[in-house]
Amino acid sequence: MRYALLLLMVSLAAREPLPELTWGAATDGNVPYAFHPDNTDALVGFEKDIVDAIARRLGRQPKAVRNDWDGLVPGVQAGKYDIAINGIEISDDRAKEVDFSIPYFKCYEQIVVRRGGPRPESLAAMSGLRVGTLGQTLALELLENTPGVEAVRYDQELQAYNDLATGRIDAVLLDVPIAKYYAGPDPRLELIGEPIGEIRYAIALRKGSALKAPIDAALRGMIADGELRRILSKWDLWGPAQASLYGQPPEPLGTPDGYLDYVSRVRDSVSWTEKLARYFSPEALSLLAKGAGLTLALSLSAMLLAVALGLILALARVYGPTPLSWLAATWIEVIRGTPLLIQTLFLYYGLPNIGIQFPPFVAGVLALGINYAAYEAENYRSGLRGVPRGQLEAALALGLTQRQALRHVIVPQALRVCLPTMTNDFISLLKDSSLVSMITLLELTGSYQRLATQYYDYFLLGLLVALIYLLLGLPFVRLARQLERNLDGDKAAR
Amino acid sequence: MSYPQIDAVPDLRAELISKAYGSIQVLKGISLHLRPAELVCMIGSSGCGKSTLLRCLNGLEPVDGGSITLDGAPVSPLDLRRRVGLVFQGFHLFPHLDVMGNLLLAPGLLRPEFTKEDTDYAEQLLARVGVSPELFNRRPHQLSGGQQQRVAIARALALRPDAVLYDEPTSALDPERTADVVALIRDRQQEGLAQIVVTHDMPFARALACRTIHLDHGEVVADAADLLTAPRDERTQRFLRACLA
Ligand SMILES: Nc1ncnc2c1ncn2[C@@H]1O[C@H](COP(=O)(O)OP(=O)(O)OP(=O)(O)O)[C@@H](O)[C@H]1O
Ligand SMILES: [Mg+2]
Repeated sequence: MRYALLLLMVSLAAREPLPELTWGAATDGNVPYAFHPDNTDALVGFEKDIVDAIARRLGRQPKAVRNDWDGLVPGVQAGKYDIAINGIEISDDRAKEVDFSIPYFKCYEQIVVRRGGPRPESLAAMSGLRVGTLGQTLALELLENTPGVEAVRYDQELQAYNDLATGRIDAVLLDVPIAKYYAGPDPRLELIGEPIGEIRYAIALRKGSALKAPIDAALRGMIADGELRRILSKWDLWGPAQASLYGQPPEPLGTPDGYLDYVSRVRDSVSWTEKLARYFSPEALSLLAKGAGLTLALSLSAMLLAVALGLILALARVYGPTPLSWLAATWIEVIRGTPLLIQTLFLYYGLPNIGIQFPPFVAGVLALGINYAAYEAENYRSGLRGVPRGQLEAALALGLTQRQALRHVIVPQALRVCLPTMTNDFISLLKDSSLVSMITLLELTGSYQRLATQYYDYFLLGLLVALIYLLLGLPFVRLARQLERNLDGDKAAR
Repeated sequence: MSYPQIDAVPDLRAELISKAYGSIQVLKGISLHLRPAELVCMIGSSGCGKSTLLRCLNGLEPVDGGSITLDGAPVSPLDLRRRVGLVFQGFHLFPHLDVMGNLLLAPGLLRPEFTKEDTDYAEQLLARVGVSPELFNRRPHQLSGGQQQRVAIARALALRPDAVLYDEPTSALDPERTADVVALIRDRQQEGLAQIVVTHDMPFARALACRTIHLDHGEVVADAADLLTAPRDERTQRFLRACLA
């Protein structure tokens, strides 16, 4: 007996840590798929429950990877995570890019309107109306193929329903779970009309992934033993549609705890003072502080890179031999002539196609740094040109080499002229760093988006975050002024 | 403040150097020999190529033809610039450095054994041209034109070159300060440096009382010790008359 116990303990201790199953999802907003119900990193949602169940059956440790929704499929291809699960509809186009598991969910598109507004009950009835939806969805495709409909594309579900409530658009067409969770509890909105279209969600895997067979098997197991039914019932998403997909009874299994919990959170009408108290809660503040820290770290690293690279480019352009100067000029034009957003996406999602893969932070610093280097280079070039020719000659005549003359005579004088523009560029970089929230970095703007979709408030939080950006930039403006004064040598004058 | 290095000082020789800017032939085959400790004054009308010649002798401007040698051996432009100092007509002080910084930049970078002695030497040079210590920490824009010119002269000497070329070194100076510069040039002569002084300032040229070269349209038209007192060439006589008028 004692021997057996010992054996058990040994075998437990010797057990290797489970291999990870990384899964990509856009966890900002994203109710009820996989979302953060409070401001912590804790995730809940029906897809989260499904992944947990699959991972358990596969003997793996699930690990969520936050990613922009538009970039989920490219992320699978680039190998940023093993699988993507986030309301991804099976479509012919996508099937060319990735493999799909068997579907785990089936539903329709749901029309939502404003109480007291137009009441289109079908696709055709929406002709002449402005209808909101999310990008890359079946709903968008349906709307675009319906004559007379003006489709309005949103990035966040909440923004679409907000615009509907305030009358900017006339209806929203989105997947049933989204409508149920975002519009359902909102007294200003109403779900109407017949089910439209048919959507099947499945897990996206890299083409030829060895994980497809075991994941399909796990899903089949979950269907067979009722685990999937229990999960979907918990989120109040079980109904005839699911039952028909899996050949099971249409009645839910167990209480819809997930749904009820969510609704009770949302339904609390919150006064402004309570809202403020929420924003200053330790969770919200720590999220914002982390975001601000990341923004600052990104911006400082990127600016350092931009200054160093910009100086090299400018020197090559002004003092380099002709081919080098030409190369630098072309590089600067290419970088300045293309959008930062494209450069960022290219670095993060594009380069892995040719085998170059950077972690998000590095990709963000590179994208921002390389982009701003082009602007810095032009700034320094005009600074270098602004130093009188006699300065270089005087330095050379004293026996300095060209390199020494540049380093000790020309560059310091040029930098003084460039400093105000550099300060300007840094402030602008600080703000542009918000673009890298596109590549899964939860910096300040990303934190704002997450909190805003959680609290249904873009207003007060917006002011708060704007203030934080302002405070981040201020010390550097002051530092630059001080530096300018020192370079001017005003101390000696007094 | 003597710093004897006569043994080390070589002589500077230019052979038939020519220089053109585009289609303008500025120097038309000039030959010049400067022995150690020799002082030469150079005069000539505006635009005749004096500054250009100095820039070529310093190695700053590449020549189209001819050669420049030190002690008979050809030297690289970089070596030439290190061993032949040049005081610019336009001063070209470094505006981001103070007076001391201007003097010590080159010695600090080029002498691995840079010591306090170099600092002392820089201070002596400044004292010699009448720049008082309270100006040492000023930036060039906080100095008068004459003060700037004197700092520029001291800067060219701080690296202890073998030869020094002055381009109108007294253009911004009053007679008293001009006398300081004359004394400074004499000191350098004592030390064995070869020196060329380009000037329009006739009292200054006479005070130097040395071999004088008259440059005209890129050519040497006269080269004599008594050129100022007894000009023989007709063009020189005309030029000197114009200077007095
Ligand atoms: N970088 C240049 N490019 C073209 N022409 C030049 C250049 N530098 C000088 N020159 C021309 O070369 C000629 C000689 O100029 P330089 O400066 O040597 O004259 P200078 O004798 O020193 O005159 P000054 O007494 O007025 O200083 C002038 O005609 C001038 O216009
Ligand atoms: Mg001149």
